[in-house]
Amino acid sequence: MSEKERMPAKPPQQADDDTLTAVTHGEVASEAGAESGEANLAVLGPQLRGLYKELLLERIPDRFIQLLDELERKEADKT
Amino acid sequence: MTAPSAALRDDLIKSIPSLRAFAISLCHNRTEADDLVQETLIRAWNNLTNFQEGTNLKAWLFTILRNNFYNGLRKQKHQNEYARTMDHSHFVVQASQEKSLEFGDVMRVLGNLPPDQREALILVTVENMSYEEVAIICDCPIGTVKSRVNRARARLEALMEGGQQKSAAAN
Repeated sequence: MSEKERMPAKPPQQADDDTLTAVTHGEVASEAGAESGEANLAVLGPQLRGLYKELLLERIPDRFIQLLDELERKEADKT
Repeated sequence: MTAPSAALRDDLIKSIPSLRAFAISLCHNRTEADDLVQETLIRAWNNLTNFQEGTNLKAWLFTILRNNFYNGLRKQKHQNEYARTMDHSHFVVQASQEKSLEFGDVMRVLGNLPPDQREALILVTVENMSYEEVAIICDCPIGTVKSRVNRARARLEALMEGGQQKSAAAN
């Protein structure tokens, strides 16, 4: 069963990347390359995600929370 | 403009780690990256009326961050120099001892990629974004995103293999 048949509710612009790309940009030739690329990302992807994980798990610096508080306060002052 | 809803504020905060990771992928160093995130948050806040709540906030924020970054680069007119001298050594400090070698290696070769390839690769792999989302953020056709990711992957693998051979020869 194709991806499309299983998920009929998918919006059309997300339904079929490759077809869309081929139609919109005429890059049919790169399709096979893109597929093998995706397959290879199965290896590289988790590696990169693993490397970025610690960064993503770092505590959000206070400066950003303070910034949002300040922006919110300024907004409240205006109204 | 009305103040954003509490939910939107929460979503903004939740996006910060991803914004920082993306900013670090683009910038020389973490200080610059955090400044870029700060500018992005201010700009996003001031333009919240342009954001349709319920649509992809992260993609919207990434677009702002990216535009800010490249506008800044254009001002500094050192795009080429930046591409050559990108230094990812700060990443090593962040990684655990066990992983640090591998991490530093990958980040060094990642720094060798052209910025357009690097950002496409990071958004697709680390941020798990679809090619379509990346195409919107990077303002280019989906096919271009795919080919950038493929070239980045091929180059990264070649560089990593080269690095391994070099270190094997040194041993």
